Amino acid sequence: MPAVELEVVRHGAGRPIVVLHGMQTLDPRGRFVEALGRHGELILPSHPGFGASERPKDFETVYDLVHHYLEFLETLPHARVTLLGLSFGGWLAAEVAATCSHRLDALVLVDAFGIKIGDRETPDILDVFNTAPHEVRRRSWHDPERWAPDFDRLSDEDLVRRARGWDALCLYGWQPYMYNPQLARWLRRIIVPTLVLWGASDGVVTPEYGRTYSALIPGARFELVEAAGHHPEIEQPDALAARVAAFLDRR
Amino acid sequence: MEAWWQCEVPYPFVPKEVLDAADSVRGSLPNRYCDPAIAADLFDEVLDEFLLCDDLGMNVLAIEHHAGINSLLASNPMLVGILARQTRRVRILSLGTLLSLRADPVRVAEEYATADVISRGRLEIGFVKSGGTEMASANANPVNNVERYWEAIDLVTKALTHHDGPFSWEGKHFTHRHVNIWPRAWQQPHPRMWAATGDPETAAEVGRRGLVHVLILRGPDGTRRAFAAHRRARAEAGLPKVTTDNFAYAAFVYVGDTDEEGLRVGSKLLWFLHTSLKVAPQYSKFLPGTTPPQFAPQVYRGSAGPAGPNAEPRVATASQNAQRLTTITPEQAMAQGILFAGNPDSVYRQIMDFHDQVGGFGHLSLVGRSGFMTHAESEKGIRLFATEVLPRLREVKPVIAE
Repeated sequence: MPAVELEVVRHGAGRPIVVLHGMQTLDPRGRFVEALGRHGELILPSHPGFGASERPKDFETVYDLVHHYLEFLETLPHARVTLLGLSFGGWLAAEVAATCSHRLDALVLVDAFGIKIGDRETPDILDVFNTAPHEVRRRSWHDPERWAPDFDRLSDEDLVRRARGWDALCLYGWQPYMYNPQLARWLRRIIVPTLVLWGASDGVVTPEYGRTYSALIPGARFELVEAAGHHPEIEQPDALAARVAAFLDRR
Repeated sequence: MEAWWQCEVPYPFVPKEVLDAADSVRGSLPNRYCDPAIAADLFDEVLDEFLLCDDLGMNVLAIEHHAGINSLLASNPMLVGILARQTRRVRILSLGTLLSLRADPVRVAEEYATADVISRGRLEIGFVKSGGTEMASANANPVNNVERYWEAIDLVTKALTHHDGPFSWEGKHFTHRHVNIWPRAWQQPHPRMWAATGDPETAAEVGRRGLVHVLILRGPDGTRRAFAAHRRARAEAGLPKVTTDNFAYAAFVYVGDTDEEGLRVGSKLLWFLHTSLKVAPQYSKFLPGTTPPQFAPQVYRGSAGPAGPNAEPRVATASQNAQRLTTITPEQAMAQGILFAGNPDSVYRQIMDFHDQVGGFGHLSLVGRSGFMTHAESEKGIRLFATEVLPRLREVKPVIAE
């Protein structure tokens, strides 16, 4: 079976850092990519079905995505890379790390999805599909007025990318909603240094969820990013990049 | 032409200020606004109306919708079961159990086979794609809904037609390794099947499969296009032409003694459009899989308005299409072939005009009793239609659909 035709952005030079984007693709011209790119060679793939990456027929599960990224890591020339996952991409990064730590030198999770913590009547992760858009907006940002996207100002191309990603996200994450019931048990297999970063104002997945997530990964370090909601890479790009860089430099 | 009467058992008795304040009257409106005593009375009256149809020889049609004021019929098989036993003469169309919302189509096949046996072969089976708020209500992934729909239809069909002991189904969406339903259906090889759709792709597949193709409130242009896609797909696949008996249309219908009465009472049916279509944007324009991504600029822009992510909560919202229907006047509804209303002669003429505009159809579904129409008004309309209009429609015989 041929590999998936993938959109991959590369930026910067130095230690290889693979960044798995969240519910939408990262802006390659954005501040976070620029800031983190000063500390390493960023490799930014768009997940199949997002951006310009194709999604093969019947490729519609997180199982597919995890194996896709395991294969992706094997195709890179580097023996080991740093893996950084944001939100939905954080779930993928945690899955990959639990399966294949030997290809990684470090793991960074930012406001990650992926596990179930609360009781059966308490959802951990805001249902972005079944919740009113104004409520999703309110809970996604520390400062929604400043940072929430204004669809009237986005280009046609950006809106089409956004809609395509929205459909793909739903396909992958609808059920169980944004988590793998088995993953929490296997996070102990992550044996690389791990940093878990969380927007202090995240109302999509709370910092408390992040602390619990972090505690399930041996030796993981948990840090809050102040004045950020679910998207520290947008609200606090410099601070987030600095935290990641400091962590990587300490090692 | 045959006629099929339906009532969705809407629940209009929620205070107007509650409906105005809600961002959606389907999917998320708390059921504390549904008084079970009122609901019981409604079911009593509507079931009697179905039985009146049976007395008058007019077929009946059972729908399904979930979690909203538009319909209390969340369980299609339950209504179909009641009709299978309590009617004695007419045919019963289930349109239908919402297949792509059900975890196991084999259970649906069991329900249909049972109803077919209880009714001694009077059941017809219809398939509806579902969508909108029902994706949330049923926890059903909206993106691959249509794919699930077709696989479920295949599995139901095989379960109804396989008589040699257990068979195994390991499909993409459904797995059932030991399928062997009892009772088997009364009608062989299986009850006639229908499907409701307006979009050309699904219409083409409905055509290739030879299902009875029903259009609901689509108006002449959309209906003609869908029927044409059906016929074209058959021709392209080298399949024989079908007759107009393969086509059906559903509209609001009310017959009074006079045009004035028919229009005045029939206008009450538009409550369905005016009041029960209000749906929040997360269940409509922003529901994944609903609109192809290339149309995102039209869908997403302007969303700073009441429907958008910048919107204040509790402001009335609706998708553009629903918006058009929520403000439709009775005159517009009649001009668009959504409402047939008046005295018996007028209604007959309106139906036949529409029939001729869209290339003919063999079945008319009457969307009856909606909103605040009373039981007495509904029964009067049924009687007048069945005695004064239906005999004339029955003179319209199936012809090859061109």
